[in-house]
Amino acid sequence: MPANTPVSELDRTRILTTHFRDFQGLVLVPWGALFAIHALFRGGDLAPLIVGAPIAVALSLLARRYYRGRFGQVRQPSRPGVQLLWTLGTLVGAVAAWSALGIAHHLLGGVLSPFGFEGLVIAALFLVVSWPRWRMAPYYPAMAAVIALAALLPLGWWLGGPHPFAISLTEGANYLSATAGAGLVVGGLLDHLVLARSLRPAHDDRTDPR
Amino acid sequence: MSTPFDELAALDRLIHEPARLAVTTALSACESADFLYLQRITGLSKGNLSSHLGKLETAGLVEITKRFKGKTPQTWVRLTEAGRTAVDEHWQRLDGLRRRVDDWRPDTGEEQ
Repeated sequence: MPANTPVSELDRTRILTTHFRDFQGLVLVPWGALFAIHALFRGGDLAPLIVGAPIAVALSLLARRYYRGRFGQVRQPSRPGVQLLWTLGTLVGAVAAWSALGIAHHLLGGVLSPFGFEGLVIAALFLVVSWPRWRMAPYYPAMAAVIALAALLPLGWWLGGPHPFAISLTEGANYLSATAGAGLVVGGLLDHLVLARSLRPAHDDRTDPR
Repeated sequence: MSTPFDELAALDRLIHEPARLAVTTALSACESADFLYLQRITGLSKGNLSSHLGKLETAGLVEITKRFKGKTPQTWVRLTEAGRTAVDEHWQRLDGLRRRVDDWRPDTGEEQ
């Protein structure tokens, strides 16, 4: 069926309404920028995160308010159990994968260092959080694929040291943080574009409906 | 034997009108939505949307709640149980119709 038939338009309506909050991408941008700025500070210094977090919270709240005023509001059925399970599952999975990589690095020494498997965790997170709406947000799987590819390339061999994503490096942790932050900024801006293009201003016609 | 096109006549015209189909489809994907969101997602003017919502409310398909947040009036719209059932059935019928039209051959008038 052609992409622009009314039915596929209605599919877009359904997806957009179901994931209306997720498409409010400007909410993500301050957090992505914070992670990216944090990456500029070497040595794992948490000060930028501690100072920047309240600013990011304030900007996110402002963004939510902007969306409420400009595009309206949608209420979804409250399913706290499912949401909690989903969030906890994602966090536990990410921490478990991260810990397993740390152990593997410790046990195997430099064998893994040419590769940046830690990037796979970030790629998986991008996929997991975006999969229910990937048809209207294909840039998340695309970014996940690029990050995964970068993680699997033996950049360590080519750069003459550990992979930039490798957990063993302070710089590596920062490169990963920068990549994740940049991904959030790009994804957030594209989410916003999808929303702004899909929720068009009302016609100003005065004709009565049939 | 009926062709898929005969089934078109059986569609609920109250829901199938394009603007109302967009409204009910959006409402079927959430618990409720406010007037501004429905206006944005359909691209309808305030007057047109009000009129369509009035027809859906008269038919018992949607419930409209008006309240104030501070001094700002807010209008929330949600599908009633009957409305949700009607929209689900309408979409099932549309999906079935789409499949039958894909299979239908005009030379024989039969489905494959």
